[in-house]
Amino acid sequence: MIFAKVIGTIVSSQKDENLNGKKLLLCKEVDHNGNPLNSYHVAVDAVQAGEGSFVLLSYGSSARMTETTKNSPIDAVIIAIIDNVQMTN
Amino acid sequence: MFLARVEKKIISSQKHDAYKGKIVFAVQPVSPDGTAKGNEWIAIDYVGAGIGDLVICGGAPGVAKNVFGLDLAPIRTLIIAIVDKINYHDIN
Amino acid sequence: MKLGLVVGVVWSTKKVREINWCRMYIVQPISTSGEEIDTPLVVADPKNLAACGDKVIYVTSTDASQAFESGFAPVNASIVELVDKIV
Repeated sequence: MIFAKVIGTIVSSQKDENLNGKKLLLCKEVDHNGNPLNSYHVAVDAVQAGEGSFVLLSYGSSARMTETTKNSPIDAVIIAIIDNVQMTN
Repeated sequence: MFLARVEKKIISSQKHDAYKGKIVFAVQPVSPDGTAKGNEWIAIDYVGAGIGDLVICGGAPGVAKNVFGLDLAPIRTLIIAIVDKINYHDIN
Repeated sequence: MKLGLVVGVVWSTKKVREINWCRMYIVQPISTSGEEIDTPLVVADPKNLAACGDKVIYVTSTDASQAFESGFAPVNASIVELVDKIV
């Protein structure tokens, strides 16, 4: 899993029918402090995240292992909204 | 699959059910000439390897499931062979 | 599988149902001699094995879901073993 920040939404009308009803969000990868890294991901929202949310994103075949994304042609899903990250020294 | 040398043994008492009764080793991937290459991996022994042995590690998702006959097997790397001898001719 | 050191906790109240009860940690991959390698990653702990400061073994990619009782969880890495000693 990676940390990401939701930076926008994606609207699409012509898509695979398994994607109908799923919210697509544009996310930017960040580190554990919230500093932006260089890559962007388009992820399906499974936790009602909104723009600006600090989220946990799961990618690859594991992304299809939620109730929302089962059998859909996707490879990234938002699995949690992060409240806080605590690091030991 | 990759060639590796068995380096250390990992001892643990609290583990996932699938790991119970299995020996876990830290292996160092090596080139055919024996020089270390890349980072260490953790592998489960399937052939009775010992520390210092040159082995072949591998296993794709789902392999461990069939090998150990488990329902759930969060096992990625298996030691699947002990190497006796490598015959090779390096083109460099 | 790889060796890592638990260096942090990720707190989250809103998670997908499949991993709702599961704790998430930040793990720094290390070598058996203790040197840090690569960058830290987020790892799930479905068996409640670890705490901060522990050395653990984690499994990545497809097999990570297999560490859950259901075998169905959207995670990329899971802790499967708590290391007592390396000999």
